[in-house]
Amino acid sequence: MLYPIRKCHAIVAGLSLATALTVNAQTSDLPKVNFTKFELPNGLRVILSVDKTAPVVATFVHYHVGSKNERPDRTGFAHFFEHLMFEGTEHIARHSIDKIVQSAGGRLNAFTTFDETGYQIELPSNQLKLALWLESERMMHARVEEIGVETQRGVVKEERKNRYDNTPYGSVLENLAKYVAEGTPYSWTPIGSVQYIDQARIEEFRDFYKTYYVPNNAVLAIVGDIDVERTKQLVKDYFAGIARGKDIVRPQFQLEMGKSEKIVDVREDNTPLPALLYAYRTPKRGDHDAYAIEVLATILATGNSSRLYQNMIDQHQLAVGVQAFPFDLELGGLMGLFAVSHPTVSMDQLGTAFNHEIENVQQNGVTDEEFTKALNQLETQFARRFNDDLDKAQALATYETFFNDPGVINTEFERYTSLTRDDIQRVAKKYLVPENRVILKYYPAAKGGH
Amino acid sequence: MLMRTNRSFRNVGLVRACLPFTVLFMLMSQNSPAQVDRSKQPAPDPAPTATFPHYDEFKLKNGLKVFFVKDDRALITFRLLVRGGNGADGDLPGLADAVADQMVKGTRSRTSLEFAKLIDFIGGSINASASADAISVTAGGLRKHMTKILDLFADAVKNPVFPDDELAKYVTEQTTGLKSQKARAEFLAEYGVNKVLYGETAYGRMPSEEALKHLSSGMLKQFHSVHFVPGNATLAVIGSTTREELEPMLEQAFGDWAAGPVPSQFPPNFPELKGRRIVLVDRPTAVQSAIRVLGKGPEFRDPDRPKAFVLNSILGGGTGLGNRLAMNLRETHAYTYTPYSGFDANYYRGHFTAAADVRNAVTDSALKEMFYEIDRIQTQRVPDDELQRNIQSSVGGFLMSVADATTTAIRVQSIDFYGLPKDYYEKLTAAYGAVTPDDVMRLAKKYLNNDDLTVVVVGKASEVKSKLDPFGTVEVWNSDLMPVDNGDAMKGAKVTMTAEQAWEKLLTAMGGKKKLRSVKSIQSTAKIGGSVAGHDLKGTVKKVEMAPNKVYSYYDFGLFKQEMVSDGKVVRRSSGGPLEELPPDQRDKVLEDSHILNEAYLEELKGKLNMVGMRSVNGRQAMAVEVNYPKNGTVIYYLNPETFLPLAVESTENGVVSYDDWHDEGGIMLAHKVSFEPQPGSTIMLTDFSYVVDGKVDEALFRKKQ
Repeated sequence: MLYPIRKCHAIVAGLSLATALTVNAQTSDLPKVNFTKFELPNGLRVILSVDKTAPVVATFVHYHVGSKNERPDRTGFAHFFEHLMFEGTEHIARHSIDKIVQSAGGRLNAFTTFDETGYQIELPSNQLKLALWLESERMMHARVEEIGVETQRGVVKEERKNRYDNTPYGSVLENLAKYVAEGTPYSWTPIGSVQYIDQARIEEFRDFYKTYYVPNNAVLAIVGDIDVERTKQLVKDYFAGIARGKDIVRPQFQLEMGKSEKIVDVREDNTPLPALLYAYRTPKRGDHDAYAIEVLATILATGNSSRLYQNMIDQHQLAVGVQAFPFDLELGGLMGLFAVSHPTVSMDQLGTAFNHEIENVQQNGVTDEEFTKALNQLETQFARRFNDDLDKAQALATYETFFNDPGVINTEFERYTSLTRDDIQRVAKKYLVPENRVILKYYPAAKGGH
Repeated sequence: MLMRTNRSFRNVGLVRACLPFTVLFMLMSQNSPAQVDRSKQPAPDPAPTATFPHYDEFKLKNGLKVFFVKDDRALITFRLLVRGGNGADGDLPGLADAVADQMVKGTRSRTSLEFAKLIDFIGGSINASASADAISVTAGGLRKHMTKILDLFADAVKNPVFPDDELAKYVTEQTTGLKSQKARAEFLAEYGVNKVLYGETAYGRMPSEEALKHLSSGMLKQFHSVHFVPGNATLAVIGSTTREELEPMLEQAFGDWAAGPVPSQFPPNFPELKGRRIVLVDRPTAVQSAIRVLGKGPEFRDPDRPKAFVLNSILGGGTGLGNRLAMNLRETHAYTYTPYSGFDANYYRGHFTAAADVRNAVTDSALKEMFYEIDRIQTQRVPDDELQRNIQSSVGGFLMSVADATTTAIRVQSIDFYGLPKDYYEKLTAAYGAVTPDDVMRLAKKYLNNDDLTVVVVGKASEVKSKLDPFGTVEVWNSDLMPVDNGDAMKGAKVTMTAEQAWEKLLTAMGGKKKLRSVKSIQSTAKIGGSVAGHDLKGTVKKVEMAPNKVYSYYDFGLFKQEMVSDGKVVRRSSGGPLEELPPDQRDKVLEDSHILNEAYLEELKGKLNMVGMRSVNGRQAMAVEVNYPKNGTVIYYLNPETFLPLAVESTENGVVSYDDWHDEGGIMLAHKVSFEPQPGSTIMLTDFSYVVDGKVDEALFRKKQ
C-alpha cells in the first residue's frame, strides 16, 4: 500500500512487480525459466519463453523511461504518457484499444514508476498477432493530439484525487521522495504535479514520445503457448520497420548518504491514526547490500514472530500495524519502517521501539533461527512469484532492462543464500544510522466536538 | 504474404515433434520482415482447443478422496473441502465460521502460539474459511518443507481442541466487528438478499450478537466431529511432487483419521420467489441506496449454466467495460460507477443479482433503468456482434485461468462436490461458443421474468421509500432485518403528533424555548473513560460555549490531545501539534453544528423537521425526529417518549451519541452522561460532568491561535 505509483488500471500489478523485483530467483528447488533473446537492427531487444500450460500468451513492453527522466518543471510526464498510449494510433481508433483486447477475450494494463513504464497484454494464444499489432502501432505512431491530451488531463487529475489526496497516508510516497531523494530526479513521484501537464504544449508531448518511445529504449517479452521461430518472424514483421531513435541520455546521480537527519510533521484531515515512518537511504537495486537489507527488513517485520511485531503489537500494544519495506530503484533505494499507533500511544513511544530494535540488531546481530526463517520466507515469496505468463514476461523484461541479463531470473535468489548473519548486522550498522534518516510523523486532524 | 507464412507455420506446429521439419522451418524463418497490413486488425489463428489440465484421482484407505494436480513451481498446497458450511449452522448462525477460524488455534499436542511459530518458521501459511455449503482448510509453502506442512495441516484437520480462551477472544472480536458491520450498506445488502432468497433457513440468517454469545467449545467440537469425517471431504494437493511420493505420505498423515458416518443432507425449505417483492432495509443516515434486483438462476448441475454465463456477460458481467448495465447506468446516466450482475448458486439453488449503489435522489431512476435492461434482453434479440464479443471474452477469461494450478484444484473439487459432469471444464469453451441469440432470449425469460423480480434496497427510508412505492408494496426492515410496523412507521403511524409538536415538547423538557434562548454561555468539564481498539482510555475534557457559536474544546487523553477553537468565524483545531485553520467547507459545518443550544435556534439555522416515527435505540423505544440542516445534512433525535429528552442523537459526522442522566443546571436540563463510538469497536464515555451556566467566560480562549 505504501508505494502507489501509477495508472488507473494498474496499481496492484505494478506493486507486485516492485516486490517481485526486490525479492528474487534461486538455486536448488526453484525451477529454471528457459528463454531466447535476440535484438532487432533498430535496437529492440526481444525475449521469448515457451510455457504451454495453457493456450494463452502474454506480451510485456518495457520502456526504460520513468519519472526520473522528467524535467523538474514537467513532472508527471512519463505517467501521463502511459495514459496517452491508450488513446489510439494511426490505425487504431480513439479509445478502442481496451475494447479490441477485451473482445478478443483478453485483458490489458499498464504502469509507471520512477524508472520505467510497462505495458501488459494477455490473450488467447491464437491472438498473438493482435498483441504484436497493438504494441507495434503504439511504438510506431501513437496519436499524440490535443483532444487526447485534454481527455487524459481530466482522467489523471481524478486519479490523483482518488489515489493520493483522498487516501489515508496517501502522501507518504511524495513525502519520502521529497526528503529522502532531495535534490535528485527521484525527489518527485510518477504522478507528478498536475499544473505541469496543464502547462505543457503539444510539441513537448510529441518530443517526449519521439525521445523515449523508440525501439532502442524498449524490451519486448513474450511468454506463453508460442512457437519460438514463428514468433521471431512475427516480431520482425511487426517491429522491424520502426525507426531507431537517438541514443538516450540517461540521468546519472546517487542519493547522498549520511548527510543529516530530517524530521517532518505531516498533518492531514484523513489520517485516521497517528503514524511514524523512518526511512533510511540504501544502495540501489542489485547492489550486494540491498539483498542484506531486505533480509533485515524481513527479520524486523515479516510475520507475527518478527521483532517489531512482537515488540510493538504483541507485547506492548503500541501499534495496530507495523511494516518494514525496502524500496530499491535503479539508482538508489530506501528502507522504511512504518507503524500506525494506537490512539493513546505517543510518537515518542513508537520511536523508542524502532530505535530499540534497530540498536539491538546493530549491537547483537540476528540469531541463526531468525536468519533461516527469513530465507525461508523469501524463498517462499520467490517460489510464488510466477502465477501466470505475464508475471514471467515482466520479470524477464525487467531483468534485461536493469541488469542487461534476463538470466538473472534464474540466479538472483543465490544472492540471498550467499549472505551471512554478519552481513545483516553490518548493513544495520552501516545504513540504519540517524544521520542517514528521514522521519515522517503523521498526525490526524481533530474531529468536530460533541 | 503473411497469410502464407502463417499456414506453413501451422502445419509445422502440428508435426513439431518431427525434427527435420522443425529444422527446415528454422531456416525458413531467417527471412527478412514480411510486409504486414497495419491498417486492419490481424485475423486470429484458429481457436486453440482448451484442454483442462491433467489430474490424478485416488482414495486413501479410510475413504478420503484425493485429487492431485501437478504444478512446476517449488511449492506444495493442501486443500481439504468438507461438506457442511454455514448452511449447516442449525439454530446458531456463524457456527461454521467459528469452527473454521478456530481450527488452527490449538490442537491436542500444540498450542495456538506453537502452531503459528512452526508454520512461520518455514515461511508457510495455514488457514480455513466457511462458505454457505462447505468449510475449506488450506496449507501451503515450499515444496522442500512438504513433510512439515503436511504434518501441521493434518494435525489441524484431525485434532483441533477449540480452547475456551481462544474462542472467547474470537467472540469478542466478532461481536465488536458485527456492530460496525451492521452499519455498512454492503453487509446489510448481502444478508438482506440472503433472507429474501432463503428465508428462515440457515442459508438465510444473519450472524447475531445473541448467537455469538451462545457459542461454546463443545458446540464447535460437535460440529467438527460430525462433519470432519473422511467420507464427507475431499483433499486436493497441488505441487511439484508425484503420486508415488504423495500417496504413502498421505496414508501416513491421515491413516489414523477414522472413517465415520457421513452426515445426511436435508434440502432446506427455501421460500419460492414468486411475485414482485420490494424490501427496504432502513439506514437512516444513508446518502446512497444499495439496490439489488434478484431473479432466478440455474443450479450448478443445470446444463444451461454456461449459457447463462454468456447472457450475464452481455447484461452486467464480463470485464465490466462494455456490458449493458455499465453502458446505461454509468456511461449514459452517471448514476453509479460500477454496476454489475451475476448468476450464483449454492448446493441447492441458483439465483441472479443485479446491483448498483446510487445516490438517494436517483434511486427510482436507477431502478427503472435496471428493469429496462433486464426487460430488453428478453424482448429484443441480442445483435450478433455483441453476442460474439461476449462469447470471445468468456472463452478468453476461462483460458487465462487454466494455467493456475490452485484454480484447477478448486474446480476439480467442485466437480465432485456439486456432481458436475467429469468433462464439464473440457467442454466449457465449446458450450460458450454454441450460445445463440435465441438461447439468450429464452434463458432471460426463464430466469428474469419481470413479475417475479425481487428488489432489496438498503437506504434511507424517510427519503427513498416514496420513490420505491410506485414499483410495488414496500416492506421496511430495520438493521436487524426485522420488519418495522408493516412499513407504516415511516409515516409515523404510532405517533399521532407532528414533528413540530414533538420538538416543542423537547424544548419544554429542556427548560422552555425562551429560557434556552436566553442562555449566554455554558462551561463544562468531564472525565473521559472507555476503550479504543482494546485499550483503556482515561482523560478529561473541557468545553466552553458562548452565544451564538463561539466554542473552545480541549480533549486530553494523556498522551494524545485534541483542541478546537472557534470565534464564530474562523475555526482552528489541532491534534497534538499547532492549531490549524479549517478549510471553508469544514469550517461552515462546524459553525452550523456548534451553535449554543442549537435545538432552540432551528429557524436561524434553517433546520427542517420531519417525524420519523417510533424506533428502537440502545434497546429502548424512542420517538425519532429528523432535523435536516443545510450544511450537516440529517441529524436524528431519538426522544424518550415519556420525558421527551433525547436518548441519543445520530448524525453522519458523529454517528450515534447517547445522552443520559439529565439534571437541571441554572434552569436548563443538561446531560451528565454522554457516550459515543469514535470508531467501530471503540467506546468513549464522558461522566462526572460539572457545568457552569452563564458564568464568567475567559473570552481570550476563542481567539487562541496556537
